[in-house]
Amino acid sequence: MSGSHQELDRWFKTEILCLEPMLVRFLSRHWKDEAEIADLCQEAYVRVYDAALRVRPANPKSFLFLTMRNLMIDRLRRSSVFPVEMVADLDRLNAFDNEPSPEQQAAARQELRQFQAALEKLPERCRQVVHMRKVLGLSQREVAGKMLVTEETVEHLLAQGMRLLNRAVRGGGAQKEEARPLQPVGVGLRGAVL
Amino acid sequence: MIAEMEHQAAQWVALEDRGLSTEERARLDEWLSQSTAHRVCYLQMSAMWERADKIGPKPIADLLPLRSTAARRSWAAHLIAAAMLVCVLGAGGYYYLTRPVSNTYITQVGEQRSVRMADGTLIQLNTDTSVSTSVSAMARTVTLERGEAYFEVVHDARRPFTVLVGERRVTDLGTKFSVRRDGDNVVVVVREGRIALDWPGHASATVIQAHADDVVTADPQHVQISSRQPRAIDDSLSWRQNMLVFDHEPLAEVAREFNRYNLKQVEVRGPAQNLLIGGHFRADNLAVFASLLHEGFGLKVEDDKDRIVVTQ
Repeated sequence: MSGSHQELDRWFKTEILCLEPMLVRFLSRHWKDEAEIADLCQEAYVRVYDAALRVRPANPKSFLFLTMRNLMIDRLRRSSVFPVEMVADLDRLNAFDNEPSPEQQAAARQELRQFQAALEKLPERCRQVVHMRKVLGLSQREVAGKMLVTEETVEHLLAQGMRLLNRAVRGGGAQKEEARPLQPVGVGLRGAVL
Repeated sequence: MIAEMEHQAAQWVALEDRGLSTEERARLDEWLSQSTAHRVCYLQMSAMWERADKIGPKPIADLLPLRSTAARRSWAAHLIAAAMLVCVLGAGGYYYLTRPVSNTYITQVGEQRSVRMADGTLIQLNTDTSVSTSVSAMARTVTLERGEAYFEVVHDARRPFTVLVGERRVTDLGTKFSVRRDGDNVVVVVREGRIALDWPGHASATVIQAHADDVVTADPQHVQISSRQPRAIDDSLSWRQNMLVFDHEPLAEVAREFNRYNLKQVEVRGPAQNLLIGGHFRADNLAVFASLLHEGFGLKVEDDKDRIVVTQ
């Protein structure tokens, strides 16, 4: 990482990105379209990062969720459907402190299960590489030696495994290339969505 | 578009997982600085990959969330949790759960490489260096088997960071420092913060503490600590920018330094060995160095195929 961004990047990883399991869990409960979760997270992260470049938020958890709330409101506004229930639900998010909450622990455990399930479903060679690297703790060089492939192949398979695991823990399922039109929220789902 | 970015981000994280060369790191920095979207995509992929460590063998403490608040829990709570898990998994499971995660990184002559550990600590390997790391929930240990490495350590009160060099041990106390192994000799340059140097296995030996702008040298019998000008500290670390800086040093020593970075070796013979040299040089540019010796100092320089011989 470049010198000037190094410290901010580190802060971003340890204070914001560590909340991803919780954020994803929240979104999968409150956003109808699962395929958009990764995209929503990405946009929220960009907003948080850019803001942090100017002023470092004192309470990262609050800041992240508030940013996500505003983002969701923006998107819903553009779809011209804006159910009143949503605002009340999101307001409940404001009660944060900096302790890892039971919610966070639950989200971490859920993510672990998602990783484990996704690992089993990886294409075979990809699964082997990820298993040897992450579960057995072998270095990339050692994995290449054991599988009798080049180190470049190991890198390539690892990158593929990463992408697939990432997809699995951020809403799973097939990802569409183009944005899907928003479905009206609140229809027949009172109390469960925003 | 996000799919394309994720593709690239994953490739970078996979490369970094193996260890980036200086050139690769520069290319990554370039890609990252193109937009916040790139940077965030990479950071997210990297953070996810680190969280994926959960699927591997992990000491109990790490399964409990998270950050510094975990340290406040009582040891009893940890032990009870550990005991419960051991009952479930049996002895084999417990072995796996406490096994530290290890890696080895190696550079060839003339090669440099930087590696970021899972905790964020940066290790820069200089030429002809071999470093192995071992990380568990209790400790982060690096063994410098040969060569020279520079460290920027991320603070973690739960896990001390130590570098083992031969029989000596450097303990990080909140720092940026380099460690060099030269046969049985050890040189530690402290750029920021503090380190402690001790000699495990020799209980009577004193522990030396050094802070920023100190240089500690140790041979099998002695340890010496001296304070330098910040400029001199930067000079000793200039290899990180692929530069070598000398200040009135005998040519024999200068040649020896160059020889660490190049397969083609420089041999200095006769009285020329004592000639005092100063200046900034690119570590990999022998041609310039040779021509300086010839044009600037009037020395005789014979360029063989596999070595350069310098005489008066």
